Amino acid sequence: MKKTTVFVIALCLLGASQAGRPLNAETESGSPAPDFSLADPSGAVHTLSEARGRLVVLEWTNPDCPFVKKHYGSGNMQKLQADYSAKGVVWYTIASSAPGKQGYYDAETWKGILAERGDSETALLLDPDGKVGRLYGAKTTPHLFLIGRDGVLLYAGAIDSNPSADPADIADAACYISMALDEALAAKPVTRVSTESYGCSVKY
Amino acid sequence: MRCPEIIAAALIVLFAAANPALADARSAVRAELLSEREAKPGAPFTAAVRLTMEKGWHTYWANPGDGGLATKIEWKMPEGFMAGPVQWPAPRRFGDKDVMNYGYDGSVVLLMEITPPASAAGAGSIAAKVSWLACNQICVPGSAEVRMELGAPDIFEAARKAMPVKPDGWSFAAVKTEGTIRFSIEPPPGEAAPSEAYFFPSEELVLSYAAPQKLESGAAASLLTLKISGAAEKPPRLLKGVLVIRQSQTDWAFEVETPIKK
Repeated sequence: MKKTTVFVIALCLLGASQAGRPLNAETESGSPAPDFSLADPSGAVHTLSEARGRLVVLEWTNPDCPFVKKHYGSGNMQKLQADYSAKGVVWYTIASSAPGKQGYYDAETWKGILAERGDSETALLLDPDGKVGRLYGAKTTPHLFLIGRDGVLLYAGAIDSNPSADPADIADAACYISMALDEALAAKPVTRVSTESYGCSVKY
Repeated sequence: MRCPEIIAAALIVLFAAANPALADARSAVRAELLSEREAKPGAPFTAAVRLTMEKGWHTYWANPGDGGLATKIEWKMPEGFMAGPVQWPAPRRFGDKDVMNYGYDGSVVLLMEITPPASAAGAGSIAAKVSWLACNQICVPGSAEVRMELGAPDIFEAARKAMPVKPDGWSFAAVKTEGTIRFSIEPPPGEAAPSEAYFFPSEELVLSYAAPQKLESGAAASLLTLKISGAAEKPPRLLKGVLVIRQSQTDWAFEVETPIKK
């Protein structure tokens, strides 16, 4: 019994270390999205694996970044979160700013920000040591990833086609994340699997 | 000042004080639009946009790298005037193993050719809106409306020296292997191998910006290993950008346009 326990523990540890990729790894479209486990501001823990069978969006955020403000100030991001959550998509907004850097807030402050901003994501996940950000190769805020029902990465990159901080540029932009979501929801292959994201650099 | 203006001014001061980044950013970048000489009808001349940045702040190259935004120029010129593309000086790196950006700090001069029409009247009315993203620990977009003024000759001389040059006598070759591009760099015969090298891609979705670039010296050529971007949809066919090297204490910046062989 003891041997099996040790073996199982060893396997778990091995699995955990394999789920963690080397720093600066970029998770590539078409590859399995690495699992993670992060807490939201109320302390509840969320994992990628618990969402298996549903489409999952990961959206990197920093409330003070002008590019994030572009999409939240205009209501664009909150609308995307609400519209697609209503269609059964799990939307995780992830904060990977390190303590002391722009965009880092403690859980209590985050609760206020979420209320003020009118967020509609499934959960805001706190990643202050940047582990999950680095796992996915999140470079900017915003940076969007779409994960398929089978856990494979379908899209990684910019939220839309107009890299600017000007909200006036949202209306005529091609919204890459919603295009990928619409295709995936219709069980069609995603045509644009990766673009270069734009935004402020993630403050690891 | 009347009451509303006093209140508005006080609010601005309070807001700026509460947001030191904003107050800093007001003076973080200064933009000027300069001409090398007076405009004459039909005769192209060189113009420059000079950005002067406060210590700690940087603006971006044509390819800003991971995030960031290239400086943009929107011309306001009289009928018939034409402006050529921005000529970017060799960029610098800002960042680390997680996120890497390409741009400039201190000051940067972007050159461009302006061609007045054959029947130009008064070129004093050339102006532009220059827009940039300035970052230190935080990012602040900014812009300025600038009118063209005559600039000192040494500004243009220095700007031309900062431009990447054609690699005269150097031989470049690029071969794609699994996940990397092996970029071989051969100096002109008899010259020393570079002691340092870094390649700045001008196109998006080709290389990983934050990956280190290992330089190995060989018998005839040096080899720089470049990591292909995980976001590249198709294998890249052309290596286009700027190669910066240090050779015997001198820094060079070369224009690169090398086909990538399989």
